[in-house]
Amino acid sequence: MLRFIIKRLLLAIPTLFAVLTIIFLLMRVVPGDPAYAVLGDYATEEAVTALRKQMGLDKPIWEQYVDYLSGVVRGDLGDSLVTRKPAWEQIRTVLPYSLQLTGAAVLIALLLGIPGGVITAVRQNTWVDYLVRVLSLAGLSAPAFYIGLLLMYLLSAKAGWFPAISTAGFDQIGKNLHALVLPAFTLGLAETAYVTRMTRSVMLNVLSEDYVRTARAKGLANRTVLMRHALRPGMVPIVALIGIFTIGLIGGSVLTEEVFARPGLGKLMIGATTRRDYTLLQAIMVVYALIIVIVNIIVDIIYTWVDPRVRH
Amino acid sequence: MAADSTVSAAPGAQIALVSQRRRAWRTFSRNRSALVGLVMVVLIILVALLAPVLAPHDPLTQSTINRLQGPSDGHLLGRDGFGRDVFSRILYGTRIALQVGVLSVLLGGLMGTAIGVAAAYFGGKLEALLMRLVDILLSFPDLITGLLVMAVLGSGMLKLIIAIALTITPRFARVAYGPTLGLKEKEFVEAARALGQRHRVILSRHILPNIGGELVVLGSLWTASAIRLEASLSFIGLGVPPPTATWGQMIREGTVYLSSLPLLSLAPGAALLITVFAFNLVGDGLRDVLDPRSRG
Repeated sequence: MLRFIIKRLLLAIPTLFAVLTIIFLLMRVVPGDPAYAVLGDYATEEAVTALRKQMGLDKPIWEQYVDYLSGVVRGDLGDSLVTRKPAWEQIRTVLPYSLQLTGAAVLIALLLGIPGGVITAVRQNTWVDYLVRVLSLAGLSAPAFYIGLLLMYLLSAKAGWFPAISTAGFDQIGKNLHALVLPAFTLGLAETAYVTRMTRSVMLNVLSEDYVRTARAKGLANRTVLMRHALRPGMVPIVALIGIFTIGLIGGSVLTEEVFARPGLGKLMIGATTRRDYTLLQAIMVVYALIIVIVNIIVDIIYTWVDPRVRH
Repeated sequence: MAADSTVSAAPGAQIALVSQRRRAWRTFSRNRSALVGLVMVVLIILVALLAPVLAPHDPLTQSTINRLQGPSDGHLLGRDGFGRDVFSRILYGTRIALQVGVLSVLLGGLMGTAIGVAAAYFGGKLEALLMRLVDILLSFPDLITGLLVMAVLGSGMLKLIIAIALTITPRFARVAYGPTLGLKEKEFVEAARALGQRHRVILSRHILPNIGGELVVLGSLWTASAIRLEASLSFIGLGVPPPTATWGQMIREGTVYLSSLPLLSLAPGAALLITVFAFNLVGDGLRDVLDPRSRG
C-alpha cells in the first residue's frame, strides 16, 4: 500500500507541472499590459515601468517562468497587484472557510445520497423511485446559487431560522456553525443529486448479478444481501466518482460563497477577477490545482483500499 | 476520385440505418419523462423565437418612478430596480440562454471532436500531447475554467461563448477519442487506407459518420450545462454585459431585494431551472437510447 501511495505521489508531479505551465501561459495572454490594467490608462510612464519591474514583466518570458516555478516550489505565490500583500496570506485566511464548507457538503451528500440511491434501486419503478429521480434531476439542473437563494428566502427571510449572511469566524464556533447550515445544504443538495443517481444505477447493476441472486436463493435476509453482497462491490465505482463530484463541488462553492457573501477561496477568486488582480488570480489557480491533485490522490488511495484488485 | 465509389455504402445499409433510427425513436418516445422534456424544449425554443410577440413590454424600457414594484395587472411579475417589466425580461432572457447554450456546444463540439479524432487517428506524440491536455482541462471545474477564460478575455457575448466552448471541448474530445481508436483498426477503414484514400476522405466518410450519433446526443446533454454555466457566469457578473436581459444577471440584481420582492430573483431562477431541467430530461432519454443498460 505504501509503495502504491509513493508511486501515486510521484505520478502527480508531471501533471502538476503541466497545470502550472498552463496557468502561467494563460496569464500571459491577457490582452494589453497587466501593468496598465492595474494602474489605468492614464498612468504615468514611470509608474508603469516601476510596476512592470516589480511584477517582473521586464524580464524575458522564460526567466519569468523560472521565477514563477521556483516561487511556487518555495511556497511564494507572489504579491497581490491590488493590496500589494503576499497572495498566500490572503488565501490562507479564507481557505479554512472553503474547506469547512466543502467538507460539510460532501458529508451531507454522502449521508443523503447513498441511502437515497439504495432505496430507489431496491424500490425500482415505485413512486418513491420516481419522486427521488425527478428531485435528483432537478437538483442537478439547479445551479448552486438558485438553491441558495431559495433556501435563503424560505429559511432565513421568511422563517428566520438561520442568518442569511454571516462572517462569524472560527473563534465564535457556535455562530459559525449556525451560519454554515444554509451554505452547506446549498452545496450539499446538488451533490446529493449526483450521488443518488450514481448509487442507484450502480446498485441496479449489482442487484442483477448472479451472486446476489445466489445469496437470495440461500435464504439470506434482504438486509444482509444488500449490505454485505451488493453495497460493498457497489462502493468501488461510487468512490471513484466522488472524486469527480468533489471537483464539481469546488465550482459550486464559488457560487455558494458569492450568494451567502461567505469568505472563501471562491469569493476571493471572483474579487480578483473583477479587480483584474492577475497575480492573486494566478495564486488562487495554483492552490485550486494543488487541491484537485490532492483530492485525486486521496480518491485513488481510498479506491485501492475499497477494491484490493486495483492494487495489482 | 474513382476509389470513392468503390467503398460507398451497400444498398442494404440505408434500410438498416432507417430502421435503427425508428427503433431509437421508439425507445425514446416510450420514455415518458424524455417526451415531456422534448415538449418543454420545443416550447422554450418557441418562447425564444416569439419573445417580441409574447412580451407585453419592451425589456429595456426603464421607468424610474415605477421601480421595484410587485406584481400588478400590466406587469405579471412586477418591475425591477430600473422599473423594467420582469416578465418581458425573462422572455427575452430565453434568447440569450439558448443562443449561448447552443452556439457554445457547437463550437466546443467542433473543436473537441477535431482534437479527439485527430489524437486517436494519427496517434504518436500528437495523441499523447492532446489527450494529456484534455485530461488536465477535464480535471478543472467548468466554472473555474470559464471564470479564468473570462478574466483573460474580458466580457461580451462572443467571449462568453468561447469560454463556455472551452469547458465543453475536452468532454467532446474524450468521447470522440475512444470510438475512433476502435474504428481505426476496423477492416473497412483499413480497406479504405489500402485503396489509397486520403486521410481527409477516410475521416469524413468512415470515421465521423460512425461517431456522429453519440456526439449529437452528448451535445444535447451539454447544452443543459452550457446554459447553467452561462447563468452562473452572468450571476457572478462576467456574462453578457447589461442592459441585455440575461437570467443570471437578473437573479444577481434581484438578490438584494430577496426579502421584499422575491420574484425579482426567484422568477428568472425558475425559468433557468425549467430550461436546464428540460434539456436534461431529453439528454437522459437520449442516453438511454444509446446505452440500454443504463435503463436498469
